[in-house]
Amino acid sequence: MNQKVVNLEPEKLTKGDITKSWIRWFAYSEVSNSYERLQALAFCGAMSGILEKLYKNKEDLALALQRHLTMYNTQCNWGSVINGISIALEEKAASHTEEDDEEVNEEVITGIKTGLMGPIAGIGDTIDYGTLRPILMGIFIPFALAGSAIAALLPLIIQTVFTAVMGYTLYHKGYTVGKKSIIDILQSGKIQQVITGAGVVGMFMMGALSASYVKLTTPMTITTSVKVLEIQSVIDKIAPKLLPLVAVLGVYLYLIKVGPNYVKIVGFLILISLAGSAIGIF
Amino acid sequence: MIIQAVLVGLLYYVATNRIWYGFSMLIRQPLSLAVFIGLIFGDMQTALIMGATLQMMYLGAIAPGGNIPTDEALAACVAIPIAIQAHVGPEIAVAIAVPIGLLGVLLDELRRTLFTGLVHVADKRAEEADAKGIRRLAFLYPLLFVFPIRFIPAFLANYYGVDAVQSFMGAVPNWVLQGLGVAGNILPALGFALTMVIIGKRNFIPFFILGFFVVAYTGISIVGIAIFAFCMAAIYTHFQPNTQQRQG
Repeated sequence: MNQKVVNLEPEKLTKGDITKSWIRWFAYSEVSNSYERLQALAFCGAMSGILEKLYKNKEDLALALQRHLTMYNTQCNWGSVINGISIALEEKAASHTEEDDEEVNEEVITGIKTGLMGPIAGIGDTIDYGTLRPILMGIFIPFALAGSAIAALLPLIIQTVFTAVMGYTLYHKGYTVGKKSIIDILQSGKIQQVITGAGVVGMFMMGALSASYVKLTTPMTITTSVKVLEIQSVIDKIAPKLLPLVAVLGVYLYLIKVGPNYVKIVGFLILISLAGSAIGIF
Repeated sequence: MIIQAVLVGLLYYVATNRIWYGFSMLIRQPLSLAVFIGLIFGDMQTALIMGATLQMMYLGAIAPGGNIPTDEALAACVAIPIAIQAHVGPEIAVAIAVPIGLLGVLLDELRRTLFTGLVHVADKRAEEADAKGIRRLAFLYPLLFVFPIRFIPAFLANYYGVDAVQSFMGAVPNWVLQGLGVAGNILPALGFALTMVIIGKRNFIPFFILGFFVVAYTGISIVGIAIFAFCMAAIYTHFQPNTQQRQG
């Protein structure tokens, strides 16, 4: 691998190359999503231009393309930072010389990619779809209900701009950080703190959204000789919205204990709702 | 009629072909789609009301791992046009949307199963060091292949849907409509619960309970909630020892 001829040296990467790779990432990320390897094809496609510049030798390029076709899946906006880091690592691997102290090889690159993709997906989904999107929707839905088409489009516009700015920044940031030393960042505990913070925000938001948007009441009554007792008002006296709370925690427990079979869960929920309506529980 | 059905079919294709991250996650939302459906059918007012109602139901439709729990785009592209044309209320739109959203998941499963084939071709292109070939497989081909999968169902549902639904609604007993409405109101629970699972920290459940009852007791706005959430996260991480332990 180190037997390089002069004209096979890697080209220098420019800021434009990184930006082009980011554009490809945002354009491709979910388009080719498959069950077998999820976003692998998108990741490889986004990296392909960079790899062409770094690996002038056909065999090296083939190897590089193949290693980025392994299973990959993350949240694509925040995941941009992983692409940036991977580019920096590939650049190091391509220009590796004997006197380098830190050797970057295939295991390091794939290890960092797969190590980061899970936690970053968690942060990204929590912030973008668990927090930002509900906030935007919560603000603009009332205006849309009042007939404003602009208000209905604003969540789309705002979130598109937000993700583009974030993604672009993180892509470049990942590259500059990765050029120095990614290992330091990973060990500094900063990432752990961000993950923890996002977890707190996410959990709190999920609770708040559950109370706002999950609706479940019962029309059941118990008729005694003295008076008619409404079950719902009895429940409300204990604490408000207890039935929605039970519904969310019930689904949560099912997901944890049994597994994420979404179609089954939605099917169950519909069946329970239908049955409940038929016999007058809901 | 046929032109409108074609346009909705195209709209559904654009909403679900997933070009450009960020945009693709929001264009598929009922609130965004409602504006275009309103334009197609010339009834913005009704479209927005239906879109906003469906949006509340699908607010939690987060897709961890790319697995959509329900297809809110197909639900919107079928339920909103039908509601406009059949002059029915938002409750009926919800009742139509719930099962349609579930059917839409099957389309996405079909797409992602087929695209496994693309990855295998990509393996060959990689061996040949054909970077351009890989880019075509990552973008152009899936966009072409997914067109019939998306366009045809939305077109057919819109072309035949209104009459079918109108005659169907007359025959369906009331408890079914009511039951689907109940399901629409519980459905957000799945999205929220899923997000909790992704966050993956069971010891954070108290934060969930706290958020829940702050809203249940006070009815505070979503922006107010976000302020509390971020402050709490800042305080919590501040008092955490800066360890390198990985959990969750």
